Amino acid sequence: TADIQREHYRSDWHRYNLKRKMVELPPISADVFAQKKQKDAEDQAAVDDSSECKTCRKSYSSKNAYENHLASKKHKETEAKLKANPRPAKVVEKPTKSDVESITSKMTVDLSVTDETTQEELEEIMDQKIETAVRLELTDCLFCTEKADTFESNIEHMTKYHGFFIPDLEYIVDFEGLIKYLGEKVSVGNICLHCNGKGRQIKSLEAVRKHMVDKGHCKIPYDTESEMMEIVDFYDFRSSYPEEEQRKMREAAERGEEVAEDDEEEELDTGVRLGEDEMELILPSGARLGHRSLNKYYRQNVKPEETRDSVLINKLLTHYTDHMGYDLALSKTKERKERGQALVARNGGEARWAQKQTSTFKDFRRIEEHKARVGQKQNKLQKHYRVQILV
Amino acid sequence: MDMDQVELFAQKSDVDNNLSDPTVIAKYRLAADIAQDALTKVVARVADGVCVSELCAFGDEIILSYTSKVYNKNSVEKGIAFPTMVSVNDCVEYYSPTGDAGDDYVLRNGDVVKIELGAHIDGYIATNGHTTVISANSATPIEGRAADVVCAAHFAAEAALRLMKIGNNNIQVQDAIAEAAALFNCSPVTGTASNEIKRYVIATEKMILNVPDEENRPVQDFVFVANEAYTLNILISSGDGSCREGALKSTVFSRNVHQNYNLKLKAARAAFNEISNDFGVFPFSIRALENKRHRLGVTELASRQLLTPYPVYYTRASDRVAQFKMTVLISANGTTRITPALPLPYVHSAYTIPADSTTAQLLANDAGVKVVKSGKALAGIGATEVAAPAQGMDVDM
Repeated sequence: TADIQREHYRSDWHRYNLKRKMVELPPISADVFAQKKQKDAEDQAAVDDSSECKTCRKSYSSKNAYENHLASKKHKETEAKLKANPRPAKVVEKPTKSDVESITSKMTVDLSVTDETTQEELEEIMDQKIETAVRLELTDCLFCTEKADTFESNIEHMTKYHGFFIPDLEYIVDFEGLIKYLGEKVSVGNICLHCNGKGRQIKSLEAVRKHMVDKGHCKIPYDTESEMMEIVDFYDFRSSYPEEEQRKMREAAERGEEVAEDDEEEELDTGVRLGEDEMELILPSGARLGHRSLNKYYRQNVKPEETRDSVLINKLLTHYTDHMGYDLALSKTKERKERGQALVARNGGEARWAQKQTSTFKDFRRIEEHKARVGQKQNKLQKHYRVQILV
Repeated sequence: MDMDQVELFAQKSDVDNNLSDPTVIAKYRLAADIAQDALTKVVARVADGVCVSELCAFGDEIILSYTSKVYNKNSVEKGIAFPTMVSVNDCVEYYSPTGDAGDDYVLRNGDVVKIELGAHIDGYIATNGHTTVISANSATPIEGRAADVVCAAHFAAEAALRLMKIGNNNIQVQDAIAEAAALFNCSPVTGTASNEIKRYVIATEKMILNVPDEENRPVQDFVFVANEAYTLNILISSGDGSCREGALKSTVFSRNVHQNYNLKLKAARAAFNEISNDFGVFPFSIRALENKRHRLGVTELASRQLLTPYPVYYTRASDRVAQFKMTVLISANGTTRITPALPLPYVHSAYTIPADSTTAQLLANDAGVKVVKSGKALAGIGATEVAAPAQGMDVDM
């Protein structure tokens, strides 16, 4: 199916095969790839990962990068500055080397989710991930490795540097909860906030951060209903409702009824309700008001259909001939009649000719020709201008 | 109309025109009785000095006074099927003047007066027509061409009636008419015909031409079958039967249901609405349009072919035309004439019917055609006496 295909395209195995194709290597099977990955992970574990430079507050994924940084001019400047005015001490949980090792080893075990993984295995993986994942603090930036002093400064940083914006800020209730939730999404689930799990599958916190920054996805999705529903728990929109509804809800609350969130969306009880197709308004008396967009149809006066037996029977039974002296204008038919032949078309051409003699057709032609002549004179035949594409 | 509707109506037509159905017969009989009564009264009114337009109005009134009283519960179309038309002497048919247009005619002694009218109940039509000659002296019979033509018409009608049985065809009837007319040195009028009637239809394709081989209409041969109704319309002229259009504009129209046109004149639209509502598909006289403005609209309607006119034809001025019209029902049990003949005018023709002619043989046997006793159905309706026009004419009723 299409979905399975899409899942496959997102997988590592496919990416690796693509890379192989670029260098004209033959593609490999899933088992071989799994083996390769394991070996690579083992090799990686031996390599020293992620060091951190305290002074510059930046972490580096490889030893080389760290050493390069230590040797750089910028680092030396920051060190000098620090010596001049020391920073307040802050206890920060640093992932140690051993931690990183254990994490990566655990993560490499069976993070690849293929069609063969059962529900149990899936859940196992998910649980493992939840346990081992690095939790972000409230003072950690979601999109980079920056660590702020306070929650507010973190928010300020995210807004300033990454353009992070909280929708409907006036109605938010649990701000910290929202940030924590988003943090979990990023750190545990490794989901890009904006992509929301669709698109490219990202495997690590660093990767997802890099993706969000590079793509400019440092935004909370808030367009569709479902996206809003995701974070609706952190908000309280009661103050935005029209007065009446607020009053009603307050009254209901006083009466001790449960004002559930669904009630806010129920109809107002004024007796006036919308009709079925939203083109009608039904008053309490039962009268139906039509919508103004259909005004032109309401104003139409259509000729009522003739239902009387007398007329209908006559239309059917009587022929278009008169008592006396009916002038058969069509000479062909007259000749035929004299010869005693039936009044039918002998071939397709005659049938088409006969059609053209009818009064309905003649009326239609009259109108169309008039339109054509008028349009030609006024130069209004081409109603919508189209650029002529010659190539 | 799509094929399903056509089929539906075909089936409906069978049901509607089923002459074994007593309700259908009852309606026919009622319509026939009304027409009969009206005709009797109009004929009685004919006298020297009477205005034709007045007679016509009188006849229509009688019909309406009856039909307005019956079948009032459901929405049943009823009323005049043919307006009262009084054609005199050389005028053939469809003469029904409005009275105020200057086309009126005052009857004189010796005039051959043809009166025809028809009523319908729920679409079931009954028409009849009679010829009378105004005589100054009721004791002596009328003689001359007028007498000849009246006799010819009468005997032709009787002969034709006896031929209208299941199994006979229209050619036989045509021949009988021609023979009877020839016996009196008269000829049937060209362009006129008897035709089959159905519910709501005053004339279907089946026609019994008075004069066969009319160049404009092919003769369609058909055989009489059960469950058919006919208007037997015999018109005989003392001349050669040819006729031409006269100077008078036609005053009788009927709505042409096949034509559709969006009218511009307000008077025309109003007229059309009135016609469509009041008269439906039946012919009417302009006199029946109350509003004078509507009468103006009629010219536009006619020019747009929304109305078909009934043109008034004339034979040569010296000729006389006689007419006898009746409604005949052919059912499985036999033929019935539901509009019985009125008493003939007192005429004496120079010609006689030789005993060996087919006409004589036909006339010899009465059996086969039932003639109803008219008036039974009217007993239920209390007919209001239609007031005599204030003209100081004392007429013997």
